[in-house]
Amino acid sequence: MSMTEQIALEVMGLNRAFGALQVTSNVDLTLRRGARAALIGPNGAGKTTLINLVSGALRPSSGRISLMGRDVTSLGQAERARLGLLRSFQITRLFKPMTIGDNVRLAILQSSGRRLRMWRDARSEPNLDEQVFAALKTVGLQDRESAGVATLAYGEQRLLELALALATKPSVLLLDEPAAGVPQSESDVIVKAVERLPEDLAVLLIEHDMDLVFRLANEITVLVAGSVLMRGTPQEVEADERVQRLYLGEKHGTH
Amino acid sequence: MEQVLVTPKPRRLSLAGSLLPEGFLLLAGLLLFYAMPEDLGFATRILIGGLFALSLDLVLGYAGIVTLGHAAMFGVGAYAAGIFAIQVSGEPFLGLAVGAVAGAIVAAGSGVLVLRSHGLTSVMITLAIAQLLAEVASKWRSLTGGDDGLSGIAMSPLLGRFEFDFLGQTGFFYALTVLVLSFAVLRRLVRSPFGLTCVGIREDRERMAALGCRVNRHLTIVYAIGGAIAGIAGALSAQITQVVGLTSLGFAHSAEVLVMLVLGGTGRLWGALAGTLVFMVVHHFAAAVDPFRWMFVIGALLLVVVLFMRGGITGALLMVMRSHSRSVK
Repeated sequence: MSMTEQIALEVMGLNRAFGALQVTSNVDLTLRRGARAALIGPNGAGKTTLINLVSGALRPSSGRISLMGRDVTSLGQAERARLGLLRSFQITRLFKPMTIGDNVRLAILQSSGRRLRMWRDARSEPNLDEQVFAALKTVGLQDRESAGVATLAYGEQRLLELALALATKPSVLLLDEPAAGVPQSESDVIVKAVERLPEDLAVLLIEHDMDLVFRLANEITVLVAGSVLMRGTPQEVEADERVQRLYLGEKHGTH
Repeated sequence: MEQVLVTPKPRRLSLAGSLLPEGFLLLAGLLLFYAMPEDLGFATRILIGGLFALSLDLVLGYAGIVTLGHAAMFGVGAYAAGIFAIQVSGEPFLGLAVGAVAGAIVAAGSGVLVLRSHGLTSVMITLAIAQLLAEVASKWRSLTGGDDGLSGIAMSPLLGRFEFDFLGQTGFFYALTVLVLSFAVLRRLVRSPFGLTCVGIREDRERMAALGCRVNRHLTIVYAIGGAIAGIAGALSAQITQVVGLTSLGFAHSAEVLVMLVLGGTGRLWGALAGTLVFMVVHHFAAAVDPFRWMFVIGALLLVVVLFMRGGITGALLMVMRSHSRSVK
């Protein structure tokens, strides 16, 4: 396998400004296949903007984004998702009037090009039940398929959020604070689910909780004021004075 | 034991079983026929209104497109079918197809503006488009008859056999058949992957885009389908009453169908039919008692439903039935 084939996501010279405010400046980012990377930075560092730029919800002012060797800079969010670039949301965004199974069913239908089928019952689409079951099993919710979303505890809703992104078998997953708002007692389940993610899936974790970052990621990019301050292994990042001053000290102190 | 792990599939109903709601609707239509043999014109208007409300339910109830201009599709369908009957052919089914295509074109064309904007802007655009079309119909007298309405529509016998009779029996059964068939198509459509995707978009557009859905394209398609069905309702109205007036495109018509749908309950198909029935029956009898204040009754009814019955009349019925079956257990 050549080097280029192993690169799942490559971001080069990404810039974005809102008016005079430069929120993303000249960001480079590379995710190999199977990567477990994390993006950290203080509030206002531009993490969410970067995720929106990479997922396609926002257009960059300049720069290039390629997915599995293919330039996707000009493609919209939906096209990128269908090519295997999925994101989860920091705030749980589930389809509340539907059952847990239908939430996943809906996600799978979007990627498989079956969303325009008008005649067959969505619940009797061939092979769909098996895929729904498999996706729910990855987060341990397989027994709850026909229950409503409202019956899930918040931590479980986070798991379903994860299952929606995983259901379509993406090659890159942008994981935006998977444990946000989850009480300590439930967060362990989420960490375990993230640890169980498919090995060849490239994961970029955006996270405030440093314990979680050090547990899950083996490469960390530190974003400050829209640009990359440094990148390295968890040990290198932890040892870096600038990071300690800018981020870790403040964070560890208040937590 | 691999089998145990797999969740049971929903029980597949037999063909007869799966057509039960359509059978029920047919039966209700027949009841209507025997309940008011003297006033089949009114009964037929209920059926056409029901079809129109169904089309709005697809667009608003399922896909979440809020519109105050749905009469545009109905009216254009009616004018197209009427003009087609006068100038080309009086064949009813061809006329329905013309109405459907006209409604779909108006929806797909205006969808470019309506679906790319959000909230109040989008609603105002639906209203403006209907008003514009009403203005065109009013001014283009040579084609539409202007304020006098389009008249002189003469239909060929249905299937070459059944003349549109004075009592309106042919018209009634024609409308009932089209309504039941459309209902069957819509019931399948809303349960399909396409329909499920519509509900997903209604709930969270951005989430759907993040999952890979081309939201605008999907909405354009469902809007066009809704437009086609509204166009069919308009065509039925033109063919059966044999006149088309400017009111068919008017704001009051758009508002009325919205009230019918909300009364009955959105996103349930049955709600559209129940709401139409209640609205039109109340209108009919209240207007007979007091032709100037009948709107008071409708207004009071709407207030009660909106304040106390979330999910409309059908929503409230479902809730009563559920709590009843629970108490029986």
